Amino acid sequence: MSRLGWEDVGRALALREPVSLEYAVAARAAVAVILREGAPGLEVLFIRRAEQEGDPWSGQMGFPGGRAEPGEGLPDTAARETLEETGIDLGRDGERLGRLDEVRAMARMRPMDLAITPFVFRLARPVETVLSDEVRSVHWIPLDVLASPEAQSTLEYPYQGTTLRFPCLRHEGNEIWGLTYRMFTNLQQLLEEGGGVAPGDARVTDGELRR
Amino acid sequence: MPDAVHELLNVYDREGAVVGAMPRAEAKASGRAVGAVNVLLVNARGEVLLQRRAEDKENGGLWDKSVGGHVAAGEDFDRAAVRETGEELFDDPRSARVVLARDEADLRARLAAADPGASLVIRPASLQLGLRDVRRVPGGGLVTVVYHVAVYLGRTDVGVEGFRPQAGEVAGLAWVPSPGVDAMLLGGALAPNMAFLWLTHGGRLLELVPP
Repeated sequence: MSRLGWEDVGRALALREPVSLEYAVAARAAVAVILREGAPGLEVLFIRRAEQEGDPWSGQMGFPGGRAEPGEGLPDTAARETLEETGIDLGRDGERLGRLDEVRAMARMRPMDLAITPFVFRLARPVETVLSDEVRSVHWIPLDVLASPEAQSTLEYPYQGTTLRFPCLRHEGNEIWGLTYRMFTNLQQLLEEGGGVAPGDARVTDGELRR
Repeated sequence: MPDAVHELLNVYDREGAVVGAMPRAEAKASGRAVGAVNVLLVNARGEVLLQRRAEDKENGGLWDKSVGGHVAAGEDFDRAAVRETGEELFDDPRSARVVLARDEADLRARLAAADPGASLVIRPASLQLGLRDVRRVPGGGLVTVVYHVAVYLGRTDVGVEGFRPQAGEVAGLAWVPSPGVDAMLLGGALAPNMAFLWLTHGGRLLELVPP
């Protein structure tokens, strides 16, 4: 099987018009799905959020991003938040390749009045990361590893005295679930439809975790 | 895939007899009822499979029955239930993993013969003529629609990561224990149609679970 390349990503993102939530929501946010060429093939950047009281996503894996400021374009929001949170300057070292389906944030199982737009970026050169207080660690994980059967798992989520089971991806003790899972699997599905690696069809490569 | 707006649906009279076929939008505007199938699935733990509705659909972001869809022109309810279940959960309208049983005794026999960790057995439970549904339209406003709905109950022990939900239709899946479904109902996280199904069919559904 051939390894995924930038052409595959470009083809996948051009497959169809991503879903837009065109109706009015109280707030908009944007995240950056950043890809780079690593030794085991294309890798995607996740951040692990710091444990913070009052953060609904405290301690969870996610993409860098945040709420849009008044008058700010959403791609700029994704780049600004990425710079603030990780020190990665997408304006200087990155290239925007396209975007994924917009999603609505959830809290306590109910939709929130907040829409999130994910943008896909290519990181063109190696960069140092400088983490803000909001971020505990960054993880570059190979796309092939996240498509492997070993990565597919279940997350147990406590809710109102019961336990709900959601699909998730596991990698070296980290869980990718919820909105991040949804946005990432959107990319995986497009890559698969575009002729790239099918989920569950990949060899596991060396999944080294780097800071 | 046929364009959803122009897809031909069966239209019915008040008593549930098929009187013709019309494109979806025309059928809904004609005052005639269209046909729908609703499927509720339970696993050996007594958890119910819920799907989160895509945000760009009516009642977007709310949690809904395991599977739902329209009866296409020329189809009967049983065929629509099998097709929609394969389509929404395994991304394959002809999935061999979906088995239709005649009744509860047949369902138990087929479950005993099959591997519930890989397949899914459903049986018809009721037909609701002229069921009313209330929906929030993306962007605001409410619509009410009238359907003839065939309800199916079924069992499967496929893990939540074992499904392959249809892109664009299903925004998320979760296995939810029955007290969790109760809490979601009271917390306003369920689509009205799912609340109806849970109150009317939840008891019979849970009887499919071995004690």
